[in-house]
Amino acid sequence: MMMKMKVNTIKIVALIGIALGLSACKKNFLDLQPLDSLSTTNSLSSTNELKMYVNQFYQNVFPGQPTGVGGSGIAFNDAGTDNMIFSSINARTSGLSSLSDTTSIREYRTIRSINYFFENYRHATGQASEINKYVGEARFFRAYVYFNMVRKYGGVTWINKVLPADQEVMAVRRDSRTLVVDSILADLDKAIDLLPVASNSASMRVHKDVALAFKSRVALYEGSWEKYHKTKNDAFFVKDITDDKIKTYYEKARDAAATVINSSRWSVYSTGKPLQDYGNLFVTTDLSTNSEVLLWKKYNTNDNIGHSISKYTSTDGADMGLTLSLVDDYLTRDGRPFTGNERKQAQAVYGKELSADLRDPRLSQTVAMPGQPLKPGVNVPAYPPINQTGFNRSTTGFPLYKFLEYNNASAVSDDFKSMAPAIAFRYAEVLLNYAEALAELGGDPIVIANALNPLRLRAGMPSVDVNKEYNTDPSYPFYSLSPVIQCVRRERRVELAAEGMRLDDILRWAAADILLAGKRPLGALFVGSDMASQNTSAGFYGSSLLYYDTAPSGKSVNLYLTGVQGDALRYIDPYKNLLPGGYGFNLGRDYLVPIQQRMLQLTGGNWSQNPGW
Amino acid sequence: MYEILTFNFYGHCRMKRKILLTMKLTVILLLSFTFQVVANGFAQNRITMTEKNVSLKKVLKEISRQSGYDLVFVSDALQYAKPVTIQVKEVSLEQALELSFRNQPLIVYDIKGKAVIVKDRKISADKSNPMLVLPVDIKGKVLDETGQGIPGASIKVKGSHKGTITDPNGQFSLTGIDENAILLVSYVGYVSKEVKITGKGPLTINLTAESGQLNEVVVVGYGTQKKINLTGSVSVVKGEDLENRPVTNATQSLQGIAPGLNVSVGGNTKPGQSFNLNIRGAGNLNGGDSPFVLVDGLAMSLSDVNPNDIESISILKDAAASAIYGARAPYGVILVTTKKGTADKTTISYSNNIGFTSPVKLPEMANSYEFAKYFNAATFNATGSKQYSDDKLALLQQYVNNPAGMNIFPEVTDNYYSNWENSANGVANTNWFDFHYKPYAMRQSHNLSTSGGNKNTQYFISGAYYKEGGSLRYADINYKRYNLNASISSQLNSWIKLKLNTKFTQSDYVSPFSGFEGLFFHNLARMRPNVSPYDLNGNFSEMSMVPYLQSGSKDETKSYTLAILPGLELEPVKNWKIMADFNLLRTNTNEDVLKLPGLIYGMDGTPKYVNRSEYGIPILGGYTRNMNATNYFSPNVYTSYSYVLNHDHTFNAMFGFQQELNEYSALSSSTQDLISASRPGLSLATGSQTTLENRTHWGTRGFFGRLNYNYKNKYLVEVNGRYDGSSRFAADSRWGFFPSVSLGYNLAGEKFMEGIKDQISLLKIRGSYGLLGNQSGAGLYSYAQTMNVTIPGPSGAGGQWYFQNGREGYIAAPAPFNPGVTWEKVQMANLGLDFEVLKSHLTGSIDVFQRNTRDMLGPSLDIADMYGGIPPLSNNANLRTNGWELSLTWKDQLENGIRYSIGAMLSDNKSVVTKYQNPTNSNPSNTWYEGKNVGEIWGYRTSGLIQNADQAAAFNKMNHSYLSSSAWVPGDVNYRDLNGDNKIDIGNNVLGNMGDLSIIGNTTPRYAYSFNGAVEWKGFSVSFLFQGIGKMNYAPKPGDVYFWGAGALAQVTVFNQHLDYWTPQNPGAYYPNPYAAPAGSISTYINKTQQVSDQYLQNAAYLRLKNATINYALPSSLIKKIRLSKVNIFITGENLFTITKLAKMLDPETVAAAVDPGKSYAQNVTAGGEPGKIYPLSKVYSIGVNVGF
Repeated sequence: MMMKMKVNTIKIVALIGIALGLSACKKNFLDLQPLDSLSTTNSLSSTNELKMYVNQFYQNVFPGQPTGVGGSGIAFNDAGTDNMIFSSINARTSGLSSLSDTTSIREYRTIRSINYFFENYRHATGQASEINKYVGEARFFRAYVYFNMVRKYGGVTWINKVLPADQEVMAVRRDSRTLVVDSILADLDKAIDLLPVASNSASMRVHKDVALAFKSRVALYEGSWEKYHKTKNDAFFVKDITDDKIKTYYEKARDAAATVINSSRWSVYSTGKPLQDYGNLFVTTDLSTNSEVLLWKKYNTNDNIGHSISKYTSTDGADMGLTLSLVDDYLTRDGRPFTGNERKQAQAVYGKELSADLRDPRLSQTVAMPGQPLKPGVNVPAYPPINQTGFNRSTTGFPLYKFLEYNNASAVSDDFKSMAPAIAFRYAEVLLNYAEALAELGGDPIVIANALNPLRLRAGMPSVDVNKEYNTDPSYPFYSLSPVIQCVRRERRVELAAEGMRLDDILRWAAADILLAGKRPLGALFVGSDMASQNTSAGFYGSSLLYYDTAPSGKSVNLYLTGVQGDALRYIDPYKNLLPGGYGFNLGRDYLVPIQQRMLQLTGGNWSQNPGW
Repeated sequence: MYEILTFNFYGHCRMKRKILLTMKLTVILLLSFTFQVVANGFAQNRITMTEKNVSLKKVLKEISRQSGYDLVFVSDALQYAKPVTIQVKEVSLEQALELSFRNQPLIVYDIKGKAVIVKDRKISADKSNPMLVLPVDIKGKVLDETGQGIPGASIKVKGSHKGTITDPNGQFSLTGIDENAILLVSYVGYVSKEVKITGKGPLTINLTAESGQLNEVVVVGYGTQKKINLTGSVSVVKGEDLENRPVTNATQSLQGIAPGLNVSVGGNTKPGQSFNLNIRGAGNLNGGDSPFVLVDGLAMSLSDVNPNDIESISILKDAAASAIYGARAPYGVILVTTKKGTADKTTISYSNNIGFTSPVKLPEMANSYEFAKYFNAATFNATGSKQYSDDKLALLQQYVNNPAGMNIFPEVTDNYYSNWENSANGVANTNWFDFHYKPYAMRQSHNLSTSGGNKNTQYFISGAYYKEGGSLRYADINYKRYNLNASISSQLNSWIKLKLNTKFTQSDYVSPFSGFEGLFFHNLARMRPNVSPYDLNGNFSEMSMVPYLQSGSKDETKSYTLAILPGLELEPVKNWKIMADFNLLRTNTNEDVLKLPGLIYGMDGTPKYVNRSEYGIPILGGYTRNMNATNYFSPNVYTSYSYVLNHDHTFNAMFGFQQELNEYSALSSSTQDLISASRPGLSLATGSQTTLENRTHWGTRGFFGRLNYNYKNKYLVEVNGRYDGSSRFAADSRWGFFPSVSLGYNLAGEKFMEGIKDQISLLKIRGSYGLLGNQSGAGLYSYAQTMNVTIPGPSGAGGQWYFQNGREGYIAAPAPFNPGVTWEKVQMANLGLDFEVLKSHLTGSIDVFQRNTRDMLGPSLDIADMYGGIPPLSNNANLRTNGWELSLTWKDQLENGIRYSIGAMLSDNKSVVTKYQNPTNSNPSNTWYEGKNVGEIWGYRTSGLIQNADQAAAFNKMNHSYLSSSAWVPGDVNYRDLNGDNKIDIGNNVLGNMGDLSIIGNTTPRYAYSFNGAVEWKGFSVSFLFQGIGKMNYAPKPGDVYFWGAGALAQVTVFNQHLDYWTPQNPGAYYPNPYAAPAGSISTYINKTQQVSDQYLQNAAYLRLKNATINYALPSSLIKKIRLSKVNIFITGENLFTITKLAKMLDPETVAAAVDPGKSYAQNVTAGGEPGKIYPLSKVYSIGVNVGF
C-alpha cells in the first residue's frame, strides 16, 4: 500500500515536472512583437509606403473651411481685420492676446514626422520618379509647416532631423528669420525639382506648380516683411538685412510666379459670364479640372465630410459682416476709385453701392446683394438683418456671399453640409504675387497690368490703368503709395477678399498702424440711407426695432452708429461701445505672437521672447 | 434536534459499513434516546427461526426482518462475533436476542426504541467491570470551524501529566492512556473543550473560536493563514457584510468597508458600472496604480463576480502581503474567495432585492425669464448687446406666470422650427432636467444557491440575475447581468483532491446613445429654457433630443465572461502539498451600434428625418459591430511543506511557478445606408463598409517562494521572493527580483501577560519591508517602435483629404519610444499593531506605511517643443506616499439579549514627488517637480469682487495683460498682486518665481473615513454605514459652465445658484460678473473672473450615508412550520443623504471624476470633461427577502 502510493506520487510529481518543463521550454515565450501595427524595422520600404506616409500631411496641414460661427477657416479668417468682423472682437488684432493663452508650438510635431521620412525613405525600392515625387512632397510640407511658424513666431530653430528626447539637445537658440526662410526656399527648390508636372489638380496632390506658387508666396512675404518693417524701423525685421537681400526675395517671388505663368498650363477660370464666374469658382464642388485651381481640399457630405459656411451665411448674417472699408475699395465698373458724391448717392439706397452696374462685379459676388438668391426659393431680403440676434445677425450690414451654396437645400439648413471647396492655391494668387513682386522691384507697369488683366477681364472690368484708378483721397489708407503699388495691393484685396490672406498682408506690409491700430471697422450707411426709414413699426425692421443713441425707457441700445445724433450721415459702428479706441493692435508687440514661457526655460534660456511680450 | 436525528438516522440506514465504523457513540446514544421516546406502544412480532452455525449477523438480520426492528452496528463489533446455533418458535424479540448472544462474550446488545444496537463489550463497559478497563492508544485531529486542522493546540489528559501538541495539520496521538480518560483540548483564541475518549477510533475534536476575529483564517497569496499569525497588512471583508446591499456589483459595496481601500465613483455612475479601486493612494504618476484583483486565484474583474457568491475578501496592502505576486501587484491585491460547499450540510437559499433608484441630486434650472435676464446681463457685459429684447422678456415673464393661450413659437419662419438653438427664439419655460429625468427607475436582483456534499465531495452552485433601469425618461437604458457559479471539489483518494470552479457572467447594457451619450448630457445642460420641447402639434421638437432617443438608435453591449479553474491538490507525503491550478479566462464583448436619424414633424405634419450633425447619424442609418475577445491562460503550480520542531517551532515553506499569456483580438466593422432600419446588418446596407482590427498580447512568467517561521505563535517571521519576467520589456531589461521580509511579535503570548489575558488577548506588533515591481504603466510593446495605419471608414472616419481616387489610408509617424523601458520599482515599509482587548470586545489595528515608487515610468518629462513629440516614458521619476490607517470595532451583547457593534475607520495618505526630470522646476503648476505634492492646485489669491470704479481703476493700474488685456470693471474678481510687482501674472513660471500664483488647495482625497454600526435583538437588526472624505478640494476651471453658469454663447448654463451674481444692487454676490461671448473670444472676458482662485476653490469633503438596512429574521419556530430554515425580510437604501459644502449643482463623489489623484491638476484639466455633465449618481431604496430552505 505504502509502496504503491509512493509510486503514484512519483508519477504525479514527474507529470507536473514535465508540464512545467514543457511550458518553460518555450524560451521565447516572453518575446512578443506587436501584431497590428507596422514595424519601423525597414519601414518606408516601398513606394506605396512612401505615399501612405506622406498622405498623413495632407490631412491637416492645409486650411479648411469653417465649421461654425466664429470658427477658423478660409472664409472667416479675415475676421478681425479691416475686411471683416464678427460681433466679438479678435483678440490678436485688438491687442488682447495674453501670454496665458499661448499654446505650445505643435508645428514641430509635423516637422518631426517629416524629418523621420527623410531619415528613412532611402530604404524604398521602386521607380526613381515615384520616390522623387514623395520626397518632393515631403520637402514641400516641411517648407509649408515652417512657413506657418515663421508667420506666427518669426525665426524659430530649424530642425532637420529626428531629435533624441534629451533636454540638453534643446538648449539651442532661435535661428534668424533669414536662415529659416532661406531653408524653406531651399526645400522648395528641391521640391520644385522633384515634383511632377501637372496641368490640373486632378491628382489632388502637390505638384511642381504648387511648389512654385508657394515659393512665390513665401519669398514675397519675407521680402515685403523685411522691407516694410525696416522702413518703419520697428522691432521685427532682421537687423543686419541688406536691401540687396530683400531684393533677392522679391526676385525669387517674381521668378517663381513667372515660371508658373510662362508654363501656360494655367489660366483664370472664366466662361464669359462676368457676373457669375468669380462667385461660381468658390461654390463649385469639384475643381479637379478647373484651369485656375492648383490645389484644393474637397468636401463630400456623403461621407459626413462637410463644413458649415452656408448654414450660417444663408441667414444673411452669420454674426459677422464685411466692412465698409472693403466695400469701398472695389473700383467703379469703369475702373475709377469709388469716392465722393458718386459714393454718397449710391449709399443713400441700401444695396445700390453693391450693384454690378455701378461697381466691380466681384463686389456683388462677395457681398450679399438684395434680391440675389439666398437659399432655394428665398432671395436676399431688401435690408440686412442687423436687428437679429445670434448667428442670424449681420454685424455691418454687408453679409458675406462668397462661398454661399445658395442652391444647396441641405447646406443652408444644416451643420456640416456645406461642400464649397477649400482652395489652397489658385492661379490668381500667382498673378498677384508676380505683379506685386515686380512692382516692388520697379518693374514695367505694362507687364504688371498684363499680369493682372485676366482677373479684371473675368469680372468684366476694364484693363488696369494705374493712374486712372489711383486714389489720392487722404482718407484712403494707401493714398501715399505709388500708383502701381497701390493698384496691386487693391487688386489683391479685392480678388482675395475673405480668403484668409488679409491679416498676413497687413502684417508683412507693416501696415497695422494705418489699417488696424486705433481704427474702428464700420458698416453700411444707416442714417442718411433708406435703411433708417425702415426702422418703424411698419418698416422692414418693424418686428424688432433698432435703438441707437438713446433707447426708450425699458429698452436698450442695440445698434451703434458713427458720429452723434443729428449728423446727416451715420454709418453702422459695431465696435463703438466695445472698442471705443478702435483695434488695440500693439505696434511694438502684436506683429508676432508670443512664445510660451515654458519654452524659455526648457531651452535653458536660449530661446528669447518676441518683442514686446 | 429532531431534524438532526432524523437526518442521521436516514443517512445511517444507507451508510456503508466503513462509515458506520467511525460513527461516534454520542450520536448513537442521542439517537437511541429519541427512538425510545417514540417507540411506546409499538407492537412486537413473534420470532421463529432455525439456524445452525451461521454468522451472528445473519441471525440478527433475520430477527430484524421478523421483528421489524432496525439493526445498528456500532464500531466493528461483529468482528468479535462467534457462530450461532439457534432454534426458536414464536418467541419474543428479547428471547431471540438472548439466545443469539448467549455465547458472545465480547458483544452485547441493547434495545433502544425500535432498534437493536449491537456493540462490542468494551464500549458498553462501565466502571463496575474493572476487568475490561485497558490502557489505549488514541489518535485524533483538532479542527477549527472551517474544518482546517489547528496546529499547536494543547491536548492534556485530565488528572494526569500526560499531554501533547497537535502537529501542523492539527493531528495528535497519545499512547497508553486510560480508555475512559477525558482530554482537555485548548488553543489560544478558541473555547477550550473537554472530550471523553470513546474507544480506540480516531477522534475528531472541533474547536470553536472565541468571539473576536483573531482566529479567522485569512486567505493570503497562494495559501491561507490565521489572522493571529499575519505579519503583513491585510484587511478582511466577510461576504455577509456585503449581502443584501442594493448595489450593482461588489466594487460599490466595498466603499468604506476596509481602511486604506479607496473606492471612488469616478464617472462610473451608469447602471452596471464598477467603481474605481485603489489601495493606499497614488502609486505612480500615470494612474496605473490600481490593485490586482484575483477571484479564487484568477485575475479577473470584481464586477463579474456575483456579490452573493463572495465568502470573503482579503485586501493585501503592504509589500509583505502582496510580494508573492511580485510585479503583478505593486499597488496591493484584492483576493476574493467565493463560497464553497460544506460536507453534510445541504442548504438551498434564495434572496431577492427590489428597489427604486433616482438621481442623488439634479441641478435646479433657472426659469426662462431668469435665464433670459441672466443671458442678457452676460452678453451685455461682454459685447454690449442683449439677445433677449425687452418685449421678449415680458413675454417670458408672462409665460412663467401663466402660459395659457400664449404663442410659444412667435418667431417661427419655416415648417420645421429651424434655428431655435442658441438663439433667443421661443417662448416657453422648460426645465430640461425635469423633462428628461423620471422620478425613479427600477432595479432588482434574484439569487438562488445550493451547497452541500459529503465528506469526499462538496459542491456549491449559484445563479443570479440582476437588472437595473436608467433614470432618463425618454432614453431607455437597461443593464442586465446573469451569473452562474459552480464549484465542486472531490477527494479522489487519500492524497489527491480535484477541484473545478466555473464562473459564467453575462451582462447586457443597452442605451439609445449610439455615440452621443457625452453630447446628450452636455446638451441637456446647455439647452435654453425658453424653448418648448414640444412643437405646436405636441410632437417632440428636434431640440428636445427625444427624436434621437426614440429613433430606434441603440447601442447594446453584451459581455460574456467564462472562468474555468480546474485544480489539483496533492498531499503525497504528510505535510507536503502540491497545488496545480490551470486558470482559464475567456471574455467576449459584442457591441452593436445602430444609428438611426430622429423623426420630427413639420407644422403641417410632414415627417422629416433629422440628424443633429454632432451626433454623426447618417440620415439613412448606420450600423457598427464591435467584437472583441480575450483569452487568458495561467498555470500556477506551487508546493508547500510544513514542519514542526519540538512542538514550538513551526516552519512553512512554499515555492511555485506562474505563467500568464493574454491574447486580445478585436474586430470592428461599420457601414451606413441601411436597406431597412428594422433589420440592420453589415451585409444589409448599401454604403461603404470598413473593418478594423486590433490584436495584442502579453505574457509574464514568475517564480516565487515564501518561508514562514513561527515560534509558539509569539514570534513570527516571513520571507517572500518573486522573480518575474514580462513581455513588455526588451530581453535585457525584462527580469526583476522582488523580495520582502516581515516580522511579528505577539506580546499577548508572553508569560508575563498571562495574568491579564482576559483583558488583552492579542497585542501584536508587526513590521514589513519589501520591494515590488510594476509593469502595467509600460505599453504592451514599449520597447518596439511602431507606426499606426489609418484607413478611411464610413461617416468620415479616417483621413479627411480626398485624393484622385477618394480618401486613402495613411501611415502615421512612429511615436517617440524608449527601448530601455523597464520595471517601476515600489519599495514599501509598513508598521502595524493588531489588538484585541477588553474581553475581546474591542478589536482594532493601526498601520503606518511609506511607499517609495522608484524609476517610475513617466509621465514623460516636459521638453522644448522643437523635440516634436511627446517624449517617451522612461524610468526616471520617484514618488513617495506616506499614510496610515486605523480601524476599531466594538462588539458586545447585553444581558437582555441585545447585540450590537460599532466600528470606525480612518485612513490618510499623501504623495510627494521626490525625483523628476525638471531641473529648473519650471511650470510647476502644470508639470511635476521635485517636492510637488500630488494633487496640488495652483491659483490666485483674491480680495473678493471689485466693488466700484475706484477699485477697478486701482486694479487696472497693474499690468494684467497676462490674463486679459480687457479692463477690469466692478464685478470682476480682484486677483491679488501677491509679489507686489504691479503685475498679475505667473512670473517666469519657475518654482520660486510664480508671480501671483500660489498653492491654494489639493485635489487628493484626505482622511477617508467611515463608521458603521449594527444592533440586533430578537430577530430585528438595524445597520448603517456612513462614509466620507475629510478633506478635498475641487477647483472649477475657466469655462466649466456647470459651475460658472456663463461662458461661450452656446454653453451658457443657468442654475438657480448662478443668479446670485454681482450687480451694483447685489454687491455681496457669490458669483462675479457673468460674461457670454462667442467661443473664439470668450477667454478675454472669463479670464477676468474664472481663474482658478482661492475664492472659488471648492471644499469637496463630504459625509454620506452610504447604506442603512433594517432586517427582520422571522422566528425559527414560525418558519419551521413551513419547512424553511431562514426567512429574512429587509429594507435597505444606498446614498441616502449627504452633508457637504460643495457647490450645489455638483456631487462630491462625481466631481472627483474629473480628478484622478494620479494626475496633476493640469493633466486632469486637460483630460477631464466638465464635472456634472454625466449620468448622475443614484440613490436607492429597496426591499428584499432572504430565504433558506
